[in-house]
Amino acid sequence: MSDINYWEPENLTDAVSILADRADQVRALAGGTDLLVKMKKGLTNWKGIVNLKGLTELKGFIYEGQTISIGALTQISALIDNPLLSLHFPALVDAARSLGTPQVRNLATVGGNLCNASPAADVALVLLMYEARLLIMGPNGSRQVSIQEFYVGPGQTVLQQGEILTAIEIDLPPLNSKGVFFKHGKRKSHEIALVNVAVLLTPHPGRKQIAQARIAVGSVASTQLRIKDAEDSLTNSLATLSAFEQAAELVKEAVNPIDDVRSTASYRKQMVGVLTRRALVEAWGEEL
Amino acid sequence: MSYSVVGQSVPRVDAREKVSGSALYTGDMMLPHMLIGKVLRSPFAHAKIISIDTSKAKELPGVKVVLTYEDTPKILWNSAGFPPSPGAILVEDQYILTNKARYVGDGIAAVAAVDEATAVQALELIEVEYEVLPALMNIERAMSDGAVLIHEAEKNIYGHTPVVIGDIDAGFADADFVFEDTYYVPKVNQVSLEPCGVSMAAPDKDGRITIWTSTQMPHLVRSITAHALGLKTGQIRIIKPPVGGAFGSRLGVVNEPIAALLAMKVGQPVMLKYTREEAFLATESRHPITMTIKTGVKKDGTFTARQLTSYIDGGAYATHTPSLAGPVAGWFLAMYKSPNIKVDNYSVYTNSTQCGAFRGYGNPQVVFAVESQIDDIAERLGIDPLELRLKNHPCAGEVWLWSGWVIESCGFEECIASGAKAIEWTKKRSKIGNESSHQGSKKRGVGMGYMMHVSGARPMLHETSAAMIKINEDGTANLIYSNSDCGQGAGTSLSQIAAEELGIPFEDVMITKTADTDVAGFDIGSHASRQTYSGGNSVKNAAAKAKQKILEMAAEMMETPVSELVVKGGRVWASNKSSEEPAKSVSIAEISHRAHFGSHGNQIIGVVSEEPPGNPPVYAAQFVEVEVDTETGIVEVLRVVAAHDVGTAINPAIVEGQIEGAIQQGIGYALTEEYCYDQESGKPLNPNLSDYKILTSVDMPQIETILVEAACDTGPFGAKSVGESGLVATAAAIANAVYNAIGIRFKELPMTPERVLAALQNKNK
Ligand SMILES: Cc1cc2nc3c(=O)[nH]c(=O)nc-3n(C[C@H](O)[C@H](O)[C@H](O)COP(=O)(O)OP(=O)(O)OC[C@H]3O[C@@H](n4cnc5c(N)ncnc54)[C@H](O)[C@@H]3O)c2cc1C
Repeated sequence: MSDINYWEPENLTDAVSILADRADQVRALAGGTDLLVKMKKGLTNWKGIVNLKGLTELKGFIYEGQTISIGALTQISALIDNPLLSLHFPALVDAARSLGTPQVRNLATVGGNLCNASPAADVALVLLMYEARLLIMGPNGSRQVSIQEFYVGPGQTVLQQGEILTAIEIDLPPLNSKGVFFKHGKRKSHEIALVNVAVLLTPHPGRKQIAQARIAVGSVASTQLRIKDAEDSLTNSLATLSAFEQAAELVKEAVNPIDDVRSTASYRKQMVGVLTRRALVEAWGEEL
Repeated sequence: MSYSVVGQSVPRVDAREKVSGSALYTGDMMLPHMLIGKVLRSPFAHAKIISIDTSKAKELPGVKVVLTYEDTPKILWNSAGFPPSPGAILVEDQYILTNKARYVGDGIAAVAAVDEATAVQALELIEVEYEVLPALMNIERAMSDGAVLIHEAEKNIYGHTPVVIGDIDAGFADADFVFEDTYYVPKVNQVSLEPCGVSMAAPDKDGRITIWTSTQMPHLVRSITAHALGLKTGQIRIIKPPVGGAFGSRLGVVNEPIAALLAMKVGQPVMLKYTREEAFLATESRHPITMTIKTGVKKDGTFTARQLTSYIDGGAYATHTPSLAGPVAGWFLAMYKSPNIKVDNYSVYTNSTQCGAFRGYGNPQVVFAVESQIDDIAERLGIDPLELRLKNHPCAGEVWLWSGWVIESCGFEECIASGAKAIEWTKKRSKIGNESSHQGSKKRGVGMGYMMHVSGARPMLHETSAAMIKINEDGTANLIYSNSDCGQGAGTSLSQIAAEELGIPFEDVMITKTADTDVAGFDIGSHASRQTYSGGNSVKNAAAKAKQKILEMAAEMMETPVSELVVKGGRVWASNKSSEEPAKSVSIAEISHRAHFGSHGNQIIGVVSEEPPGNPPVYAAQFVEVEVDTETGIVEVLRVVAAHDVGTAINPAIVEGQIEGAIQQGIGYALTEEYCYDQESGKPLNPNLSDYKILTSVDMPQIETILVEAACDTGPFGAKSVGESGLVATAAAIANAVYNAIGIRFKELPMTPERVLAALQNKNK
């Protein structure tokens, strides 16, 4: 790592203007658990970093009616410790718990997990399933995008020069719905997902049919995906093992994983099916 | 026998400094004017170096010295830490910096600069022109016709270790069944918490050089480094501060000669500290071995012939490999009795990082293969696997073929009995493929593996150890020992042995926590599970000598013959004849004071330098229960019962810690760990802890250790060994449990989810 410039702005406006002025040359630093690793490996030619740690207003939770707003700089470990999140968004807490190691979780932020745009990101996947809205501040003011529109490719987002992700909003899921996050790896901690899956099932009042299904999968394509076909196949259908199996098949058909040092494409494809089915069974939560 | 300090789980002598973070490791040290060293590494697995231009690097401000092959002594050497001995086969094939790259990471040049950033920048300014040669990444390619030569060895084979006992052909002819299977075990890394390769060298004005290094063997590193540099052994002083784990990785020279050469050229101290990635790239790991085992057996389970042919992938330099071929043969032939045995081990060069020592030294590889096949044999013969092992293992009173010496004590039957009971062998083994939760996709099984191991390396190697006990004026004792404790707790056990023998409280013994070759006598270091047995014997004998002098002095003071005196609790007591009189005693403090300042005027000191009296083998039986997820291929180890015959456990907590820690490595070997190379380019694919999968604390199963203390006569207070043996049988036990769960025999490690799932799908086709 050679010499670089370093800023610690005290407010969002300053942070945005430093980032906007220096354009491609500088990067925002949140927890640094992705950024510093890349810099140390010499994978970057950035000339400077803007440490966002002074922007305390981007940290923590705000509850308003049916919506929770999570500051982009909120640490992953803070998600685990939050009782209301455990109550309403258990899948988010499970994903947070599965991320890295205690040391990493104490540094890593929710915003960093999204902006890094890794297809394997755990917390980001659950936010995709919960249909988060992302609040962005930039040189031309603030804007909001849906998480579905946020990713452009692996490591790439719609963020423009000088833009900072400020908050993530999620609405309380429908009553009686249940969200589940499953992660597949070779060990139980310090593991980048070979495959991860987040699902949500909302039953019809009689609890025999599925009113709504959401299925998000990671590590099986260049970006994380919602699998519409699989979701649609479940809508208004009876909750049966074979319905879940069929949905899992549709997920397998929709993905396009790769071979790498961590696993093979064929194994990942099989696992996304197994995990989806298991997650759906778990989300339904009753004998089938 | 009842002891007062031996057998107690006293806290380790280095516990406080380590848990509080105040222990100073080599990498924490700083000297005035200290420079930072860095090594330029080959990006190619096999390449001739056509030219190197260091001029730009030398011009960079802050760079003090840049070295290449041109600047290194033209002395071929071998880094493996062996004393000159019958079993040390030392092929000398390396230079401090190479003139031909033989693996990705091979050291081409070295720099020392005022700080790390400058040193790194200097590396980038060195211009090297390479002529790339084919990368031979496995033994098949390396041994193929017309393969380029990595060194001057025909077909890249540089060692053949044959053993013949009896008549192997007659043995097979005599058999009712003959089994022949080929097994493969991968390259795995020791992954000590402190990355391997940390040393700091400081030259003085008298032509000597002091090297602080994270090593397992200060004295041998001294002589090997001296040889590589063309110095006299006495010109080097090695200091070994606390070491953050070793597991064999520091069993020899790592990077000390590079640090020393840089420091000598520039006349300033140089710190050379490898990163985790460099520890993967450029330091020694466990040998991948391809083993074919052929076994002839009678219907009743008697072995008529046992044969092993193995190809040991030693990587780019010889280091330990031809010597390791000896123990590989030894482990195999000594495990089970058979009148006819044949072994052929071949050492093969490939373009991967050189392999060396890793806890078990070839034994985990051999035991995985042998114990896998034994289970298959037991199944075919319809004999309980436990019975087959009990029938064929060597027992106390018989000659152990590893050493050629009579086995002193054997706790194996008890290991089997207590381990089987704890895991509920009879109940659980009967239910093959036991189903459990999750839509019937998970299947459980139990399995076991057996092993024997050494308590030193005699007679293969000289096992010299030296210890000195000096009794201070206040009755406390210094134990001066080349203490190569690398985290296993040997320094504590040795202190307990000294306290027990002297008859003083444990707290009153102070061992030299830092080893210093200018201070302590010659000791061959921490290896072969030898510290407690071999080192312990010399410590005990040094203490006995000091105690004898204490008694003689006490006899004078108490006017009682030595034969009527005993030492206990820091005092010498006269065994009083008539019980009416109160017991007479005098404290060791008083005795020592009298020794120093009375009419004799000499301090009580006991010194020995000697080889241990033997090499008693230890036994273990490990039992595991696994659950195989047949939809994902994930094998989860639910429970491990590790029954180990260790002789007397000097410190049971330390012994249990050694076994539990080793099991973590054993499970990794079985399921998750494999250091991989791109087979075409030879580039390592996972030289980091994200992609090289060691198990974390939450992955660990419940472990039950059972200590079977079959004490031996020659060990200090009956101790044998435990350092390495905890992982030797683990992978075999897991493979056998997986077989019990799903009926599939894995002959290749690790049993990754991908491989297990593929095998399940193949089976169901
Ligand atoms: C050992 C280890 C284990 C890990 N394990 C996991 C795991 O299991 N699961 C997982 O999902 N991830 C894992 N990670 C990756 C990483 O920890 C997470 O992605 C984390 O959430 C990143 O957050 P951060 O705050 O550290 O981001 P940083 O590294 O600070 O930033 C990441 C990227 O996002 C940009 N950025 C950050 N915040 C903002 C913002 N507010 N506005 C605009 N741009 C921003 C940065 O410029 C940078 O490009 C692991 C990392 C390590 C080192």
